[in-house]
Amino acid sequence: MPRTRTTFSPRQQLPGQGQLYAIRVLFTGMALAMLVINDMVCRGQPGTHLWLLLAGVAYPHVAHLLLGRHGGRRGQAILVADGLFAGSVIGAIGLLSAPSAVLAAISLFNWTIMGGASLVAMGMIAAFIGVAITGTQPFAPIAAGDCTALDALAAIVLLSYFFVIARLMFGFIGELRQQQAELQAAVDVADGARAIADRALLGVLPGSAADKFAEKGNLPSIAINNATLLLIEISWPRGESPTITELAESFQVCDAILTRHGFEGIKTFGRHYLAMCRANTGPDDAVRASRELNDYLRDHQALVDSPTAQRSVRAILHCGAVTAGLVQPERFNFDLLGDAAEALLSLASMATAQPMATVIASPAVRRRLQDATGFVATYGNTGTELHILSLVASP
Amino acid sequence: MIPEPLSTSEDIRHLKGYTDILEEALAHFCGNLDDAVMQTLLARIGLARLRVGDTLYRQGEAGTSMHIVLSGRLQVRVTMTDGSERVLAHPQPGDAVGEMALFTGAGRAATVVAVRDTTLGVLDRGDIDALVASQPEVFYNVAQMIIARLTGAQERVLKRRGTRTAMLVPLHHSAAIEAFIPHLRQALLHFGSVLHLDSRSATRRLEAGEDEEYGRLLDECERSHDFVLLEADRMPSAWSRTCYGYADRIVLIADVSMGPALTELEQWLFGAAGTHRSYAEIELVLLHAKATRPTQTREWLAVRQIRQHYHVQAGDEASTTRIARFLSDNAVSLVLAGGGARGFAHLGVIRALHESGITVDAVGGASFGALAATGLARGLDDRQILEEQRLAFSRDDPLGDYTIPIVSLVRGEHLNRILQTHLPMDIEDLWLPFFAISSDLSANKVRVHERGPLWRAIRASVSLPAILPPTLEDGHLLIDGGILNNLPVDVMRDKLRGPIIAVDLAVEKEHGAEHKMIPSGMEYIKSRLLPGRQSIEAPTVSRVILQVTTLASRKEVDSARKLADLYLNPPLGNYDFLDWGSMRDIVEVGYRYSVPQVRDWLRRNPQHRNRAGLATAWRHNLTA
Repeated sequence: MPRTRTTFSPRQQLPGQGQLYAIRVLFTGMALAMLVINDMVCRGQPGTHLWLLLAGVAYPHVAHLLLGRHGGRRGQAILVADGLFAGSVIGAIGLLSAPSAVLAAISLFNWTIMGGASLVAMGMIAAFIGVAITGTQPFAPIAAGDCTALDALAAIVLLSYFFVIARLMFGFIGELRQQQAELQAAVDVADGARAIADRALLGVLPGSAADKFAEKGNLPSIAINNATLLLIEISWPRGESPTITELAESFQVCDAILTRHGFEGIKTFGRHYLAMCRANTGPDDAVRASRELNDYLRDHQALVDSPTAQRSVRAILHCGAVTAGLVQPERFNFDLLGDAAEALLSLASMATAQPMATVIASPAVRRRLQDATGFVATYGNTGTELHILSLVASP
Repeated sequence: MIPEPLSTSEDIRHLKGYTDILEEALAHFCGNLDDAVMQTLLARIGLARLRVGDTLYRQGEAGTSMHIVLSGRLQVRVTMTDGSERVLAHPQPGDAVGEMALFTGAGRAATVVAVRDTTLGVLDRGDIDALVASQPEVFYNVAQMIIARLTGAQERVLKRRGTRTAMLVPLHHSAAIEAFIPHLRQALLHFGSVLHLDSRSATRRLEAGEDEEYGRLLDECERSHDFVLLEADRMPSAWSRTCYGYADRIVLIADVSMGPALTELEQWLFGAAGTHRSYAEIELVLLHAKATRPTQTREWLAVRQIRQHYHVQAGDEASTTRIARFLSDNAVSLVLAGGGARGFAHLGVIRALHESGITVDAVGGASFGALAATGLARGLDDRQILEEQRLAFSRDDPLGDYTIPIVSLVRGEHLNRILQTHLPMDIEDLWLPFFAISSDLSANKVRVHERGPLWRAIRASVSLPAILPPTLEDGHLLIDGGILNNLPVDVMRDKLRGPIIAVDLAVEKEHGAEHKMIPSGMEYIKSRLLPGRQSIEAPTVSRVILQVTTLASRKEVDSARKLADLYLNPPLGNYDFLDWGSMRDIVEVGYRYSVPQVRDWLRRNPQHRNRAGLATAWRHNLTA
C-alpha cells in the first residue's frame, strides 16, 4: 500500500504559527523599546541605532512572510534570524547589562524549547554576528543611576514574556489533554464496535453454540445422542406466497415461542424452521410449542385480515442422534447431520400429504411422549409409521 | 354495598352457563353431595353482579350470605389495628367468599371489593342452614375448611400473579399506533403465550363458543394464556367498557404528534366509566417519530393520572420489546450507589451488562450513581457515557470554584454550568424511567426525584455536604442522596416488579484506613514535601466528609442488598473517593468484576438475555 504524505502549501498556516507571530511582534517591540530607552535615556544619544530600529519594525513581518509559514528547517531559520536581531540589540545596549541578559535568556529559552541543541548553537552564532554588527562599544559601562528605566523595562519584558508563554503552554496542554481524550474515545468506540459486531455475529448461531464460540474462540462439532428435532412448516392462507417481511415476522414468532419451550432455532429455509431440543422432555415440549404456535398464528392473522385468512403450521417431529457443527465456517453456517436429521427430512417429504395444523411424529417420538393424547397412528406412502395429532380443536 | 340476588329467568339462564363452576365450588365447600341435594342447592343460588370498584361487603358487617365467584376477580383485605390495610387474597372463579361469617356468627372478617367486573353466585344463610340440617356431614366439612384456613394450612386462593390482562387504549387514529400494537404482542411472546382480542375477534369468539357473556369468555382466555391483550375501540363502546372492567393494567397508547389533549375515549372512560373506580394501573406509552426526541412530556402527564409513562421510537424494535418487558414484569432495572470517583465503576458494570445482552429498562441511583444513571436514561451506551464524562471532566473542573468556606468549600457554579449544559432536559423526557435520590435536610427524609429538570435533581443528589452548597426546593434544603439511602433498591422495588441489579461501591476496608497516628497539618505537609521523610497517611477533611456521607446509610444498604436480584460490589478498596484521575482503571475494575457475575446470573435467568437487542445495537452502530 503506497504511503501517503501530508504536505502543506507555503500559503497554508501551520498550527500555532499565528500565536508565534504575535509573540515575535511583542518580543521585537519590547526589544526595540529597550533600545530606544538605552539610546535616549541611558546614553543620551537618540538616533544612534536608527537603522536597527527601522529594521526591527519591519523584521518580524518580513520574516513571518518569508519563513514563518514553513515547518522543518526552513521554519527554524526564523528562530536563527531572531538570534541575529536579539544579538544586534544586545550589541547596541551593551553586553554587561540586565536588559541584555533578559534578551539572551529569552532567546536561549526559545531555541531550547523549539529546536534543541543544534538550534541553540545556530542561534548563538547568529546572536554573536548580531553583536559584531552593532557592537561598536559592547562592553562600555553605562553610567550608574542613569538606566533605572531600562532595568525596569527589562524586568517588565521578562515577566510579560514568561506570563504570555505560560498562558500559551497552559492552552497547549489543555488542547493536548483534549486531543488525548478524543483519541482515547475514538479507540473506545472502535473497541466497542468490534465487541458488538462480534456479539451480533454470534447471534447468527444458536444460543448454546454462540456461547461456546464466544468462550473458546472456535466451535468443534458436537455429538448429541438424544436430540428432539422439530421442523415447522408455515402455510399461508389461500395458497398465497408470503413476503419476506411476513416470513420474517412468522420466524420471529417461532423464535420466541420455541425458545420459551426449550428449543434452539438451528436454521430456516423457505417456509421451514428447524429447531432442536436436548432435554428429555423435548417431544412433549415440542407438541406444546407447536400447539401454541398454531393457535397464535390462527388467532392473530384474523385480527388484521379477513376471518377466513388463517396461517397454520405443520410440525414434524423426530428424535435421535445428530452431530451439530459449522458446515461452512466462513459463513457461520450451522447445521445438523446424522441419521436422525435425514429421517426428519424423509418424514417431512411424507408429511406433505397430511393436512396443515397437525403434528406429525415418528414412532421414536411417540415412544418418548409422556402425554400422547389425541395422536392417531397412520402410515405414510412408503409404509412408514406416522403418528398424527390435529391442532384444529386445541384444548 | 351488598348486591341483591337476581332471580329473573334471564339470570337463571345465565347461571346455567356457570353450572360447572358452581358444582365444583359446592363440592369443595360441602363435600360429596348426592345429585338431588346438589340440584336443589343449585336451584337456590341467585346471581349478583359487581362492577369494578364496587364493595361486596365491609369488615365487621353482619354476614347473611356467602358468594361464589363465577367470573371476574375480587380482592380481600383487612384493616389492621394500626389502621393500615393488608391485601389477603384475590378470589377468582370457583372461589367462595363470606362463608366464615355464616358459621362463626361474627361479623365479616375482611372487606371484599371487585377489582374486575365480577359475577357471583349467592347463597343465603337460610339455604345454608337448611342444607346443614338435612346433611350434617356438611358442617364437619365446612368446619375443617375454616380451621385449615385460620391455621394457614390451606392455600385459600391464588395470590395475584402480576399482570395477566392488559387493556390497550389507542388514543389516536395513527399509523404508528397501528404498527406498534402487533409488535408489542409479538414481543410479549418471549415471556409467555399471548392472546390479543379486539372487539371484532372477541365477538367472533363469543359467537363461535359456548360462552354467553364476555366475563366467562375472558376468564377462559386468561386461563389458557399467560397474557391477554384487550384492545379497546378508538371510540366509546360497550367493548371498551368491558375491557376497562376486566383489565389489571390499562395502557394508553398515544402518538405524540397528535398533541397532549385528553381524547373523547379517555374522557368517557375515566369520566363516566370511572365512576366505578378501577384498580388497574394506568400507564402511558408515547410514540415518537423516527429521529425525534421526547420533549414537553410534562404536558401529557399534567392532564392525566398516570402511574408510569414510557417513550417508544416508532419502528424501533428494542423500545417496543422494552414495553413488553414492563408488561410482563420482566423489565430489568439498575440501581447505582454513590461513591465519588469510585462511581466510574458503574460504567464498567454497564459495559458488562451490555456485552452480555442484558438491556436495562429503568435506572435510578444516588449521588454519583444518579449521575451515571442519566447516561443510560438518555439512551447512551457505556462508551458514550464514558466519552461524555471524560470530556466534561477534562474541559472543566466541576469543583474548581473555591470560595470562603462558610456554607461550603466550593460555590458549585462550575458544576451547575456543566450539568445545565449536559442535562438540559426534564426527567419526564428521558427514554428510560429514571429517579434520583436526595436527602431532605429540612424534613429529614429521602426525596425521590422523578419529575422536573434533570440537572436540578442531579445537583441535589450530588450535593456533598460541606463541599457543595445544598440546593433549595420548595423551601427545603436538599443534600447528597447517599446520606440517607445510598443504594435505593427499595425505591425501585416500589416502582417495578422485575429483576433489580444493584451496584454498591462500598468497600470492606477503606483505602489508607490503617492510620498509625493522627498527624498535625504541619507534620502532614512536611512528610509530603521534605525529602527523606516517609509520607504519613492522614484522614483528610475531604476524605472523612465523603466517608461519612455513605456511612450513615450502611444499614439501608444492607437491607437493599437483600432486595436486589443481582448485587454487585466491585473491589474498589485501592481507589479513593476523590481518585478522579484513575477513571480508566476504575472503569476496568468494574467491568472485570462484573463479567463473571453477570454471566453466572444469566445462566440462572436466561430469559433476560436479549440477542435481538444486540443485533439492533450492532445495526445502529454501523449506521451511526
